[in-house]
Amino acid sequence: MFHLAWRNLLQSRIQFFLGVGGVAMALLLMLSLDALLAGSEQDLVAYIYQSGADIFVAQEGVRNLHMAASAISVQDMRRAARVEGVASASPILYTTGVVETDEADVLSYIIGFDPREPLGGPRTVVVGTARLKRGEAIIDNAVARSQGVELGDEIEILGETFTVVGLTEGLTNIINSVTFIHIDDFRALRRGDAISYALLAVEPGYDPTEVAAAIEARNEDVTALPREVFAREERQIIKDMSVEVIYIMNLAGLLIGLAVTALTLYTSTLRKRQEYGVLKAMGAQNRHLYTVVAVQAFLSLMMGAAVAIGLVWLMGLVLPQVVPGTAMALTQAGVVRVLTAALGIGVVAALVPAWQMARLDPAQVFRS
Amino acid sequence: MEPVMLVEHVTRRFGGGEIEVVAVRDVSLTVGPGEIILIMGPSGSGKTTLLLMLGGLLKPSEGRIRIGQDDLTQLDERRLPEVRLHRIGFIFQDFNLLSSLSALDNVALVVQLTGLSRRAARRRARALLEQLGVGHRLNFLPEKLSGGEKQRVAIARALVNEPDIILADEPTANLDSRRGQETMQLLRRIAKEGMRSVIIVSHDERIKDIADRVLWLEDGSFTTPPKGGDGKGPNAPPRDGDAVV
Repeated sequence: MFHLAWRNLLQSRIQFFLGVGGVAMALLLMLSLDALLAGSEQDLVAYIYQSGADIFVAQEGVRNLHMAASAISVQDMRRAARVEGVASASPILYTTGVVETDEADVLSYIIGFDPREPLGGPRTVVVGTARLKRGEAIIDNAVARSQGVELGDEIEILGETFTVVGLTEGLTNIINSVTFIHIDDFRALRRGDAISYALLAVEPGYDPTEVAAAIEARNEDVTALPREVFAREERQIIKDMSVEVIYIMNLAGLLIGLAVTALTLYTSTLRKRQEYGVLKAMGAQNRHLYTVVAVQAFLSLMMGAAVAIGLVWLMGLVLPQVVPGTAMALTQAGVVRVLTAALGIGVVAALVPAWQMARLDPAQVFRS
Repeated sequence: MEPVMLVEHVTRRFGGGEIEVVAVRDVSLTVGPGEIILIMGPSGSGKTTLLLMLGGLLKPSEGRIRIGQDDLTQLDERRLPEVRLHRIGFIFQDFNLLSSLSALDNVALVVQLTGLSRRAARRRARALLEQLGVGHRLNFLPEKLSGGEKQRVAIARALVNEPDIILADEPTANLDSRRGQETMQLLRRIAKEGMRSVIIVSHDERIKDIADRVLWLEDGSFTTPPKGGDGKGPNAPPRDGDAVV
């Protein structure tokens, strides 16, 4: 029956390609969005990982960077630095702002860091220097490329003019970019002694989770989170913001996939009605015919899923080259979700043809 | 000798009340091993209905049909396909080969339905197709076969599970005269060699020669043939309830 299903599937090449292609497009809709979000999540937390911090100390209740406002005192940072296991503590100032270039305005995380401190500054400067002075800025390569900015060019950040002295790699995502300026410049713009976050390195042999808990235990005005937790909270923001879009797109993909598969199977079964009647007349049981439908559904869906996965993988390679700042990451969870959806579609789509088969009267072969 | 098929007072009605139609009326028939019976009759005489009942595809309203020890009229719907698979071979008017499968796979598939592996089924199918003279067309799709070749593949498919009886519905309808004769002679030879009984329903007068008995069905009953028919099958001993012509 497997062979018959396979041959039936391939018999009409046009129908085969339309069926598999339709399923692939539907699953692509689901998978590409998933991959796009996964890619965005990875990019969004790139600074958190690149900063080198093991622990992020923020104002009490602040658990991430995106759209957050945090203010702690230098004393808070020093108290945290005195906790056993902390190797170093570096301050950063942070806000979300606009970087104005000659071409356009670019939304960006603005990080004010001290080049003399071990943490907080850019770690992936590919062109220029990371040791910036006052009045200088480091932007991401993707922004520079897209806006035609080169080293030595002037840009405007938070209303002040800065000279670009360095370009980073991998700090632009679909939402924004990361721009670095000197902490004193930032402080001058903001006015005041508070810092946004303290970035802590932990001594070897110490568990960042335990150290973070110790910091919070000593100072209830701050929230201290290990890097992994801080990054997870940051990713969650993206998830929370996109959950409805994901839901709608997944539903759309599911319905399109279901419609394509159901229609393909239904027309295929209808077209083969006479032949299935012959099989029944000769002694095939319903289960034999169900197998044919099920195998056809399974094969076309799995092929569609494979095409969709392949296309998303290709898009993941091509898209960042074409659209700077975008990234697609094919995740195991995304693939499992799509394969599960495909199986679900197969089961539902095969119901009507199976019912047709069950009702098929083999005697019709003689009457036709 | 034990009959292969025994048909006893079979009647089939459709509808009810004033619109009731009796398609087959009190038909009895005994089919011996290796016997070839040709059932003829005008359109609407009940030939196809009778064939459907003989093949276990339609339940009679009255009467009994037995193949060996199996009573088709009493068998559970789930058991009937099994009986058809093992004890009955079908040859259809339009050949009805599966269009997506090669000649070899068309025949092998019926063997696979019995639970045999694809490899074993193909081995058995290949041998039979070679015996029937279409060994050079094993991997051809039906659309690439001539009418005569298609019918040979259909015959192989009907024979491959070594059934007790073969039911053929207008087997020469889509063949020219010469090919029709050749194919029916081939069917006769194969059936006789394997002592398989054959019941053919046909309008085709030219295939009377291959039948051991020719029966005339009209208005649902076996009766005498119309004027002009030769009325004689070659070795046609009358049997109980048969209207031998």
